[in-house]
Amino acid sequence: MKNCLRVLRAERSLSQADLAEQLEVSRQTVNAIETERYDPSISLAFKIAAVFERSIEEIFTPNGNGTRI
Amino acid sequence: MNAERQELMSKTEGAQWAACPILLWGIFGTKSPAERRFIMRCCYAGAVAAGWVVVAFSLHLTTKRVFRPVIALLGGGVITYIAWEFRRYLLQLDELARRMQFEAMAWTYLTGLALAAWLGVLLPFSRTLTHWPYKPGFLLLTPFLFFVLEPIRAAWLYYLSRRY
Repeated sequence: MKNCLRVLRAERSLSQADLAEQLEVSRQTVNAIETERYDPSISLAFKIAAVFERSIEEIFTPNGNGTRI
Repeated sequence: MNAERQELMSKTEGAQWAACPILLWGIFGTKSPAERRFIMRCCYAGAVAAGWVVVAFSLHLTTKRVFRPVIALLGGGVITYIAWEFRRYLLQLDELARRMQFEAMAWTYLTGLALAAWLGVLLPFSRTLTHWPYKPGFLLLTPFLFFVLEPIRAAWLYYLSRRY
């Protein structure tokens, strides 16, 4: 799943650690989502959307590939 | 201030999970309270087990029939306690870390099955070649399985941590 998390984070001058703290996840989790190696759960996607005051669809775009198994 | 921010952001991007705690303890090394508690409890359990082994050998309890079941039960008890603490630790992890731990355990289970199947073939075969006194009973000992499977789990966790 594609996302614009890095752009949104840069717009707000948030580090990965800052965002991770707000989302109550590890910094590595934020990094994995940003680099599109991990698709977040629905609840985490809602949290991300709430932090950036956007809808989930504005942040995440499906591209047909899920998280690798 | 902005330059500092940019520097901080570029430093954190691409950061991976630390390899050392993954390979040594099978955890991520985030120094969270849950991780610290898990490590401490494992150390306490290990110290109790080691202390009991020292006492048992120094007082020659291993030669007394009545103490043998107690010694055997202690190994199982310690590992059960560690497993319980590990469960509590898992519940405190975030979703990606928990996913990786579960994936590592799933792969460990499959590796363990394959390993057991191959040992079942190779050990009797090597016995016929080398006349090694093969006793399959030792494979049933819980501590043996624990000490073999934990490094395998750590190795899988390390592999998965490089993927995400």
